[in-house]
Amino acid sequence: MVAKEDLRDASDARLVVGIGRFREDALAEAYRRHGGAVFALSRRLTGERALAEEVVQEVFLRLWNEPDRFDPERGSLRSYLLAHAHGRSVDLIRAETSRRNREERDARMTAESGYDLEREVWDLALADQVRDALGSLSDGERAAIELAYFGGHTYREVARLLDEPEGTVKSRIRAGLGRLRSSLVDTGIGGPWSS
Amino acid sequence: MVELSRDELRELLGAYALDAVDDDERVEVERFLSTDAQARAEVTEYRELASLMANAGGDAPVGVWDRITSSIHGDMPALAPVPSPVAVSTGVDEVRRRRRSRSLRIAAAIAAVAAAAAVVLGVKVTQQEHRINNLARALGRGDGLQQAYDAAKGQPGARTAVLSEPRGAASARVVILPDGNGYFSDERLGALPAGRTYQLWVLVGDPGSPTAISAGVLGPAPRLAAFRYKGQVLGFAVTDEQDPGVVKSQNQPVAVGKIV
Repeated sequence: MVAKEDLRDASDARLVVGIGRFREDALAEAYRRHGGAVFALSRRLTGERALAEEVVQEVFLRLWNEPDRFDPERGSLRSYLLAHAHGRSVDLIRAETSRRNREERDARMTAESGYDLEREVWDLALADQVRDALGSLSDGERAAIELAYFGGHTYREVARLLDEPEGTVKSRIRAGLGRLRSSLVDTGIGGPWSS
Repeated sequence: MVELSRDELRELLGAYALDAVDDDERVEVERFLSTDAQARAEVTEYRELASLMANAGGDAPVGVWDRITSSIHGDMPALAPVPSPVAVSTGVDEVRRRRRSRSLRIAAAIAAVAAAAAVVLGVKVTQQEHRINNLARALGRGDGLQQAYDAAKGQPGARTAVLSEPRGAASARVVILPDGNGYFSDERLGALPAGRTYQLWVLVGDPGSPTAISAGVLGPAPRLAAFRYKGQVLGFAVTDEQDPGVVKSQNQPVAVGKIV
């Protein structure tokens, strides 16, 4: 049992065990730790506060109702929650109307000023090591990852936006993530890849 | 759609991890992931990387927490209007519906058990392999547990018990394999209040006077759990106990079923 006084110091995995036992204070601590990040990512993707709040609510209610879906051997609680938030946000914005508006917006941004990763990513108060790792990517890799992850586009849409072959974009996303992983290992950031 | 090769599927892993594949490709990648541990590890890594790229986000929105707790307590207020044509919140609405239906089911189950207690199997309880933390074990498996359960149902020699409430509605299902690995899947059991837990029992011995052996504690809102019991099995039963479970139950089962 997770003791109430231990919650601030409890690992995320122990919090989830507490949530599985209907410990509302364990859910509150998980929300305190990760709710801001979930909200920020969803708001960034959807562009609407109300939609982002709905996604946050859904993500944490799912954690409350189905805590056993989180597998600590397959990543951190934060990445699990963010992956869920990202998936739900993408579902919402890929509705046809939103898709058309989003593609027009991103096409306009890309055509008028290039895809400004400085603006889109650099201002996210990233950890220095993550910022350095992102700097190791080629422009093409960064643009593909940025449009896919923060724009919510499929790689086919990214290919259209960047006027590149689909296969090239697909490869750049994977290669860029691989390079990020290597760079973070070099800078000493731990993770499942560093073991 | 043309079936993709394993190399092509592997090339899609980065885009898949960022939710950047089409629906038909997602299905193919997920089928591939279920067979390739290295690919699963690669996706896990990419999702961790994505979480590092995401904004730390500042404080969590306070108003949303109030709505979450209201929903948990079953008296959720009307949701804030969403200024978008996009349909949202189906998941939240589903949670509300489930919580209401759970409450009704609990009340119905209690009444039914009280009325029908005399016809439930006479269960003797013995102490053996009493485990109290199945949920924590299941947490270590995640989706792998669901895959294991799905695979078990189709395995040769798999035996199933459909557990029913006293009035006959199926409420849970158990699959047990010849090697002793078993899986419990909740279908209709309602969530229990704080301080209570469901407990799974293996029924063995004399069919006229079976012995119940604890197979594990399931928690207050079980969904899927794994257990292990090697030996002849007559059936399974689920009881409602004080958390963290008991060695000997004094309660009548809320659901029971014979192995077939």
